Amino acid sequence: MPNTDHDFHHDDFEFAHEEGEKLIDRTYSATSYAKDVWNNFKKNRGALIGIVIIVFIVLMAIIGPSMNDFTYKQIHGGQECLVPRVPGLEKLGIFDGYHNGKDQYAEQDAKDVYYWFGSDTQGRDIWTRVWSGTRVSLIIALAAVVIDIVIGMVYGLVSGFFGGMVDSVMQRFAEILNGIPTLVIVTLLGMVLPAGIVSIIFALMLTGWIGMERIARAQVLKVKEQEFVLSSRTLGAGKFRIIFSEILPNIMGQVIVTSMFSIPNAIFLEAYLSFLGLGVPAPMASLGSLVSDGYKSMTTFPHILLIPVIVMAVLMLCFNLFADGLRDAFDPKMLNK
Amino acid sequence: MKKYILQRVLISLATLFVILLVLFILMDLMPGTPFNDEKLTQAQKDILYAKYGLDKPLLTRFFLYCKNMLKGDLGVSYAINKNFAVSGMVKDRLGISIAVGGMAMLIGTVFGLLLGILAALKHNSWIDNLCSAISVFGVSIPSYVCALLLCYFVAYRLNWLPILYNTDQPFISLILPAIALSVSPTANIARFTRSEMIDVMNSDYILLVESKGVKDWKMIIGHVLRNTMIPVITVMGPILVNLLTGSSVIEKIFGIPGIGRLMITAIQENDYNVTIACAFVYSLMYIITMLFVDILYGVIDPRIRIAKEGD
Amino acid sequence: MKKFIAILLTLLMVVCCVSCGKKEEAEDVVIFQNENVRKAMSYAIDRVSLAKSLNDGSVAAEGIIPFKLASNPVTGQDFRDEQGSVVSYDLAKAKEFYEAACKELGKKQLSINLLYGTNEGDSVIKAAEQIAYYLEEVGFEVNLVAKQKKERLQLMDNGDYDVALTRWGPDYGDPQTYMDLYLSYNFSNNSGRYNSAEYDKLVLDAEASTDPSERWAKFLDAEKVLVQKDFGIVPVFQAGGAMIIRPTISGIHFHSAAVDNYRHIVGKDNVTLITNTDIVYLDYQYATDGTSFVAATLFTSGLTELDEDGNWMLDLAESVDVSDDGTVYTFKIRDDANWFNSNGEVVRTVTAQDFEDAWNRLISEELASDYSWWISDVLLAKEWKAVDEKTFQVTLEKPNGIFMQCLAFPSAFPINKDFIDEQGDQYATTAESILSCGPYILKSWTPGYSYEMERNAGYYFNSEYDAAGTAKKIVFRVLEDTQTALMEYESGNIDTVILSGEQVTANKDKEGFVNRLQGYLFYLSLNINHYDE
Repeated sequence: MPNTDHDFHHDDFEFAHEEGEKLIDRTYSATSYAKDVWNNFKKNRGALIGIVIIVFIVLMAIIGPSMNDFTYKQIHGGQECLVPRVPGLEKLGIFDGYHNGKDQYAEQDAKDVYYWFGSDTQGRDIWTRVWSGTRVSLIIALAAVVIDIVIGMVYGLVSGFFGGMVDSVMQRFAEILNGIPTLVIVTLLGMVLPAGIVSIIFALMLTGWIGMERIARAQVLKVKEQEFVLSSRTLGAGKFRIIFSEILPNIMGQVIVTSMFSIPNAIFLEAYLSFLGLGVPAPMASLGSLVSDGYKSMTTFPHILLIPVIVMAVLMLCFNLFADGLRDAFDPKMLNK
Repeated sequence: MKKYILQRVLISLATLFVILLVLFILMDLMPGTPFNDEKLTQAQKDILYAKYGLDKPLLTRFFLYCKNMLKGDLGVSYAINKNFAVSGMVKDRLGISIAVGGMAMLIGTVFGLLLGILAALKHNSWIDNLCSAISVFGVSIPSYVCALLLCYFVAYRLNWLPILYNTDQPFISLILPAIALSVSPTANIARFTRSEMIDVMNSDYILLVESKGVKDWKMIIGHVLRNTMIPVITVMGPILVNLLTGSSVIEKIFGIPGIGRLMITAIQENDYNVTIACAFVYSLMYIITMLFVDILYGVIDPRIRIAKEGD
Repeated sequence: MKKFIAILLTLLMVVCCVSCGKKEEAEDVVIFQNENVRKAMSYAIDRVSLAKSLNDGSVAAEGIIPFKLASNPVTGQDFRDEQGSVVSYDLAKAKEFYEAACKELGKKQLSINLLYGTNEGDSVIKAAEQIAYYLEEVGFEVNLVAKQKKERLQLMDNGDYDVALTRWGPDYGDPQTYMDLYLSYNFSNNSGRYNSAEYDKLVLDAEASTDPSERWAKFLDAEKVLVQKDFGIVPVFQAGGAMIIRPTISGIHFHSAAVDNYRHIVGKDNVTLITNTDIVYLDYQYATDGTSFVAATLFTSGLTELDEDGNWMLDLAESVDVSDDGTVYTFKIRDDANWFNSNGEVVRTVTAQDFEDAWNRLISEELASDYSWWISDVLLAKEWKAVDEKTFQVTLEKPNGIFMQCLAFPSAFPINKDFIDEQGDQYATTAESILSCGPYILKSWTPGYSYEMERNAGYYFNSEYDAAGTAKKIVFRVLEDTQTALMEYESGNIDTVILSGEQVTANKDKEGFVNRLQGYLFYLSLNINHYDE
């Protein structure tokens, strides 16, 4: 029957799906942005593993140094460079204090002593030093990330968004600061500031944020001409509103990933600073200074280097898994999927 | 565009001048003097100060330095190689550092981009995870540890390459240092390329290109990579400058007479002229690289190019 | 807004830092005037354990004079052996003195800043950490203050320190090189302003004395006063140098109080040696560092040189006449002593005038050499002149037992004034711009990389060198990293390697391992009276 009255009938269209399949409209309860982020983050297994290990390492940094009778600066003459020995495990043939087929502990007359991670070239317990060093390095890492994000990102955002004269002046300033080698700047700081964590953070603050600033600016330049910014602008949003609630969430992923990469840089910068007299004052340790000390014994007693490097690498791996999870969770484009 | 470039060059020159002045002031504030030595008496130190004109006021010295600099004279060294012309010292060592740094940058860029692209294309697969792990280890293990490992296994045990830098076979003996130096840039570039590329591949214009039926590899090279490169170049600029101006630890391990080592020694010895010269070389490279990056931006990104042409 | 907060935060940090800095400066400034504090410090340090854990051949100091520096002019016994130890480690005593000091000063705990240099070698950093530990065992609160060497010296010059770990390298083999340092008016070296009339008198008497054994006895007493009675400084350790020398080569003469002699290396035609520092200055009259001096003794010669045991033998001088009162020395310079350019061609003969010119140039104000005092203070020379072309005459203030041995030091070597005038500013900046008059010729120098010496075919001693099989070419390779150096050594490319303390345990049984004793003595300088200036 020809349909001539141009009216729609209920059977004009039918579902292209197979017979019997039901289509149910789901309704979702409105969730907040934070909750969305959390839900997304939870789904990422790697990120969860990462955060569990980070929590574990943080716990060890807090309680590790007090788990045995040694202190980080206690020197044991005659018990230098011992390899790890752990009660229990030694029966399995690992961590039994043997180096090149000789029982070092028996040779050094230290039969009842257990250095779980071995001892360093001055006879100090590496276990205690590694965990107290991790504590220092975690604080530095945290500071590095905060400085990166607070100073670097905001600077980059403002510079990139406003463009023109503002951008030009801000970029020249950053160029001058970055055009002077970091070493020259921090050497001078060494004279003015006393050694300690505050000074390290200050040194990071002077120079550490510039890398992030450039990345944030590049991201803004990329994003700011896009349609959603334009639409926000036409709707009459203020400049700061556009920066912080439109552009910021869109570049957050890149920012987080970059800031994670600034962590090892900060930790190693600290090791260099202690050489200039600016880092954590000896005999206090940090992961960076443990690595650079251990380097000297790398070909003879590799365990002195290996242990801090492993802690460092695991920590970094977990920070990155965590950052990846955060990045995916924060990304508005991923949220919509 | 021409007007824009000219303007940028002029601004860069002004920036350099400011940096030079700041460096001069910083040198003046440096703790100690080049002549602190157990064996020198105060009277001798005063004579040396007068001899090198260090007793003159800061600004007088600065303008004298600028004037000499235009003639290519960077003063003489006070402590490292006493009375040597600094321009000669820097010139000799810069070449070697540029050679190592350039090789390292090449390796870093090629492998970094490859790893990053591979990881992004196989997003969330085991390849991605492997690439991520490699880059994470790349930044968390310091370059000097990698360098010594390479020395031990590749050079000492397997005897494939010489351990130390050698002027008789400069290229071959620079391979190991270049690889050791490239580890961290590889990791950084890979990581950055990956996350940037994932961003780009999720964007609407790539969806459009895809739906237009452009072939895979063509799309990746012509559209995805082109857009990925813009921020990646931003990171590569400073990395390049850092590599070219030498790494003191790598130079120390392989016995390379490069500029990185020279600068550290100069800072330690308070050798003002050498420090300023080394730092200025760094600044010069940095400013030039930034200039290039800004101009390249325009070339790669059509939006910026058009905006600049409209100016 | 966030930016504003950031700026605020920055400001806050600056304020924090500045206030922290202020707090540290407000230390007890007069505690080292208290004798018990100084005693406690000296007794607290277990020097033997410390030296052992440095593991690089260093030995515990037994006084301010190092081992093998000087020997008794009459009996030939080493100063250290004759004196015995004037320091000791006794924890109980140290604690006692510390308690007493606390009581006298009216304090619960004494806090000190220990200054040390971070670029003066790994052993300094390690030693500083250990010293801090030992002092803390006694009860002190110790803050380690790490600074670059130049800054450390500056701080010490200004009296801006409590305790500093510092060192002195002897310039010649006599106790005087150390004893002069703590004279009350030596403001360049006596940074702590140790001030003792008794010590001053002993040292000055010794130096004025013409009787060698009386002089010697006074030096022995002076050390006792300084270290054992007044505790004016705290000696810690004497530096060692562990190294491996390829067993096939021999003939490197190490001297703890003079320049090492590399002229007689035998066993191999082309020898490659490792040096961890580069030549600073080829002009040996201007140089101050060991590496430059070692190079200088290869390509130039003086009137004398030192043999294996540190005894002098004639070099460019053919003969020497000494006047009866021991004050006038007349040298006859060899006829076949010549100046050579870098191609090994003879420029002209070495004359007595070259020595006169050299000594005049060394003391001249315009050169401002670090060793300008060498002629008057060490050689004790008051007049020198070229009598004729080949006769050089020196008149001393008084007889000097170390005169002949100190002529072997590069500061006393001849120069070719015509060549220096001709080269002007360029003199001694490249291998081509310096002349040679020694057994080797400097063939090339690439700063920061290497320098090469080739046997000088025209050198007078050559036939004997040939007969002994002395090395024809010596290459010095500049390399700081000890681990790659060891690999390079084991690959056979270099012939010596300097070991760090970390490498010694694993390598001490290797053939060719040497533990040489260096002359450097490390001690704690206590800031006793240098606050008010």
